[in-house]
Amino acid sequence: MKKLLWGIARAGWLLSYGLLAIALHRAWPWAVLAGLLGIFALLASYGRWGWPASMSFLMMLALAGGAAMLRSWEALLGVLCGLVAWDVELFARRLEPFETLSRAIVSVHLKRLGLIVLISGLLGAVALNMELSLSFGWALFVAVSFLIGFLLLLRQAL
Amino acid sequence: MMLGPRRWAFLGSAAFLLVLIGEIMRHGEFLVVALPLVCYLAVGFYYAPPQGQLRVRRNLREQRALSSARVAVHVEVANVGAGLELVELADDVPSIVSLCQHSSKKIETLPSGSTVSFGYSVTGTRGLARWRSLSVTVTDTLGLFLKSIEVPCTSELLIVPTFERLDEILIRPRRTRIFSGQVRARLGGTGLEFFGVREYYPGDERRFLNWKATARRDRPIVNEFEQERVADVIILLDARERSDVLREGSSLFEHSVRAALALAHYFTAQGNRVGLLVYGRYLDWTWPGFGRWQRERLLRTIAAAETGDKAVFEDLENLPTRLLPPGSQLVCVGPILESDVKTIVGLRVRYEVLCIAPNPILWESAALARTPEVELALRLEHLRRRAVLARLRRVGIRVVDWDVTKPLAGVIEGELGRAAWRAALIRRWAR
Repeated sequence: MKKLLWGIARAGWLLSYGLLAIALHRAWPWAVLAGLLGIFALLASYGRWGWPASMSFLMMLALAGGAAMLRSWEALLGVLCGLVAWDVELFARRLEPFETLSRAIVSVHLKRLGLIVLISGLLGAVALNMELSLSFGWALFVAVSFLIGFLLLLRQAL
Repeated sequence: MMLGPRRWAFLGSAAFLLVLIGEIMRHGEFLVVALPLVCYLAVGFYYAPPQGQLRVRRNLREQRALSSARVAVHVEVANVGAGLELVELADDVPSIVSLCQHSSKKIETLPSGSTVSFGYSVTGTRGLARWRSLSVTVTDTLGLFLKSIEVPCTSELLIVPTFERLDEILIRPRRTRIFSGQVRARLGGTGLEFFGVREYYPGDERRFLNWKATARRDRPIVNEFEQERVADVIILLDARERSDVLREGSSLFEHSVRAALALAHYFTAQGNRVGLLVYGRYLDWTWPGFGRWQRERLLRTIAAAETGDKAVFEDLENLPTRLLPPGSQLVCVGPILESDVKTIVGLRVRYEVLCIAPNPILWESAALARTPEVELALRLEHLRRRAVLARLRRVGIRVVDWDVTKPLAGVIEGELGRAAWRAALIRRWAR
């Protein structure tokens, strides 16, 4: 089970930085940087170093922001893969001290993550394909309702 | 590990920054990049863990174990509240024991009404191990919410070091109690050992007639035997740090503890009223008592004894003699320091004193390289110790200078057994 999680995390890093490097291939210094950061993330994952996972994830987000201006689809997919890699690596690290693991723990986590990837992918696809022109009032209304909804969700959770 | 508020703060800040940069640069693509993070947080908040209600039960296979023996610990956690996605259980293993098999941690999902159990084994050298609680960390599977609680669940394990069973120690306290036992009471009556002769009284058994004395005195004379009763025995365990000697991680005090355990076991088994005073970190006084309960109390106290370096207990001068029953048998266990001699000699006025003294010089010298200088120093130290012990013996205190590499039972039998007693009597008559 633990091997599977580590495998998913490494594959996630590889895909994430690979996609970003492809997205950034026109600005080759950034693509090289993405490649180097990807190698670093993989090395950190193999070496099971504690701190670089979140840093690699932040770097990936920063590069994805830049890549999104060039090739949005690859950037979105890269972020999704990076999110999976970051989350699964932290989860695997968390499960490391435990001798025995039940299959249910891992399957619940992967299902939840799958749900997140699905929703974000769908929303991202909609966002990249649809073009809406909203008046300022509507935009404000959407932003405020989104913020209120998010706060209500947070309140329920806490 | 990034869990709980740190995690959602991290993701929330990253998402906010992306949105902000997108707004500033007027590039909607940044919002798309932020979307997965927002979804992650939204799904995580939706599945926030409810309040759980856990019941914990811990079973130790044994309540008392010998040192180095493995004791199995079984922990059972039942969820009587709402279902919990991810529960980390960590049993707080006391510091005096160490894990020897499996882990004291477990991670599990706990649906409502379900039970999870795990087991591990511990081992230790000596002392009373107390488990107080089970640490429970409840999180959602994404780790966005974190709640740590301590569920109280107490258990105790007494680890007693292995100690020798003593065969025979002859003691002669000044006072005995009225119940029959195995300590000679310095009074004529029924017993086993010859005590003296007296005139025959009607009712005396004829088999006790001393025919030779009867013929000599021309009136009936009977043999009288020494009464055997139980006595008050107080064990003084020297737990001062200054009298302890450490050698390669092991301590001479551990041998004193083993000796005290053996003595407590022996004297209680003989039916005596036994008390204990551990003198070191503080005064740990166990009132004298009889029987198995008292033996258990003594074993617990001795097994949990630790050395201390309180200035007030640096010398034996502050020994609370008012606690000790007058005329009782005192058994001092510990290496005797030169400064202790005066106090121990003073105790001889009111009590019968017996010293079981683990030899610190032999103990320490075993780890020393034998150079001529070391040999000379050791000879001097041996002479000094012999002089210290001789001062005690001179006032009638019996001292067993114990080389801890030899079995205590053999040493005690040789010096405090019946044969040794008779030899001493013969020596005294010969003088």
